[in-house]
Amino acid sequence: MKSSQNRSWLFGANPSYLLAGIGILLLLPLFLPKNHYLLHIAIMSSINVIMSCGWNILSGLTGQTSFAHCIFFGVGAYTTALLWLGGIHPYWTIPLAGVAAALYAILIGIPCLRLRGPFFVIGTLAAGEVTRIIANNLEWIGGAAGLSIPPPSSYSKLPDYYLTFLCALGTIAISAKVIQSRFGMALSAIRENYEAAETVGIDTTRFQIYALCISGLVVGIAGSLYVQYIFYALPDKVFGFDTSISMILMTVIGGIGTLWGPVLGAILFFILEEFLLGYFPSLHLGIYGLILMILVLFKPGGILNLLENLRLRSFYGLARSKEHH
Amino acid sequence: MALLEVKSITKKFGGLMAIRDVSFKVETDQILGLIGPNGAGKTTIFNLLSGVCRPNRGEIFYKGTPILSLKAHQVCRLGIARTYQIVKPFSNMKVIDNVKVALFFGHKLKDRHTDETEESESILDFIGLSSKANSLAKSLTLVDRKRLEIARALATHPDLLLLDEVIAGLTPTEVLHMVDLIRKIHRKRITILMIEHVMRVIMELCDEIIVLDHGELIARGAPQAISTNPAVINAYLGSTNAGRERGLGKA
Repeated sequence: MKSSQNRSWLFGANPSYLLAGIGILLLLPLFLPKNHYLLHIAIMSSINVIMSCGWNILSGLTGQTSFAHCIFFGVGAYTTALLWLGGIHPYWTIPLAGVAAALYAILIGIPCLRLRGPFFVIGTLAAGEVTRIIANNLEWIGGAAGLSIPPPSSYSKLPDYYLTFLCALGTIAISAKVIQSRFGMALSAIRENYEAAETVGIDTTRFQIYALCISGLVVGIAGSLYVQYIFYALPDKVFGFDTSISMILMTVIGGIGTLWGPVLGAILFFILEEFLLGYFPSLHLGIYGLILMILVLFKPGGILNLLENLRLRSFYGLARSKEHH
Repeated sequence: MALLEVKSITKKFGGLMAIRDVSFKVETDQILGLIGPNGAGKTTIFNLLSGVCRPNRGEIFYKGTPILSLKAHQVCRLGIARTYQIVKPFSNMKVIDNVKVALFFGHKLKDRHTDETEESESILDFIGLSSKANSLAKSLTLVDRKRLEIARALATHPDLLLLDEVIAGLTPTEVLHMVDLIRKIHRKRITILMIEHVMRVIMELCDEIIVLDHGELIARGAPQAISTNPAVINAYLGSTNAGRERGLGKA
């Protein structure tokens, strides 16, 4: 009982595997040339992990599907780009980007989180599009051309690798903390039954705004890291509908509402995207759609759920074979 | 002072007058029954009391303070808990977590001194669900779901418990258990206001009954008096000839 309680923060992950995994990922770059393609995949995957975990904190836990999360990504990206161009070291802009996104989240949350279900979806869709159009037309933040940061003369992917990796670990820790806390429990109650949650004393609107705030903060940080890596904030990309969609896809593919699902989904999503773009450049979205349809139809719990079932099956299979002998 | 005082509340849904000028009091420690034909507005009264919706006119006082402007979660924290007729469990959460959530958020901070796991276990034990503490709420049978509704309501430490048809749809044995349970709850000095269609149970449990028909309060009194009240019989059976023959038809 005690040991299972102590380990519950790992959410079923084997601690030794986890540590080994972190170790390998930390040491990996030492064996690679400093701008290896694998590093690019790792950096983008880390950013994706931060995005999907962030999205999961609001939408996975409370069941309110948000299409507005591209906004927080964009606000984070633009905050970093502007401050960086203003001469501030980009690392210092990371928390500021998070805070700016969280403030924007409150601004959107107050009207939108009064809505539920499809109405919330439409509300957030509108908020996302409006923000994208505003960003496209504000000249002082670069208009439709966006903000580009002059790249430094010498360049290595290594600092970005470690930075994004640590931020991703931090995000996983935050989302583990949220899922496990009383607050997380309240969010699950809201997802399961909104009215009942309200009648057992949960201030549903306020709790959802808090969740959106944390969620926005995390996604804002992802935006900041993205700009630091890409050196470019393009409004149609960072505020784009696709950015929101990819967060949703990653989380749903991995396993919505869980800790490890979004992580798994984000990594698979990016690797798959690179692979599909390379081999089927005009078909990759179609193939995505297909995978998603199959998953949602047959395994709505996502890949994490699939893996758990397989693990359980092999465990029981093992137990049975032991009984026989 | 009455525990709960409802003063001439009126609730309209569009053109439909759901509740028309209803006033009543719930005294501390009583079991008050609320009955009436289908569509009389019983559940609407519960929704108004628990802050789920607001009346167009009227006032509601709980322990002397007006609660009309409060939201549902605030009403709950004041000490009014309710169950839903159509049960609303947190399906994908464990039974014990359903109770824990209510325990965490259902009452004011200052009351939190005991260990929550222990307390939720004792509530489940009290309600008779302890053997299912670790199963998911969606795996429960109807009677257990109704029990869970009550467990969750009790976890918010209420002084007033609103029970919305917790007996309807149960088998005779289950009914007996549920009646026992309601008595046990009442013995914990929790005042109960209950909606119920099963007359035998209402007659047995309640020390007073109020009757609602078409959104209006038509009678109030002891169970025996209510069962012979012509207006009540009229509301339930209609002013048929059979009623008139017995001299009960005219209200």
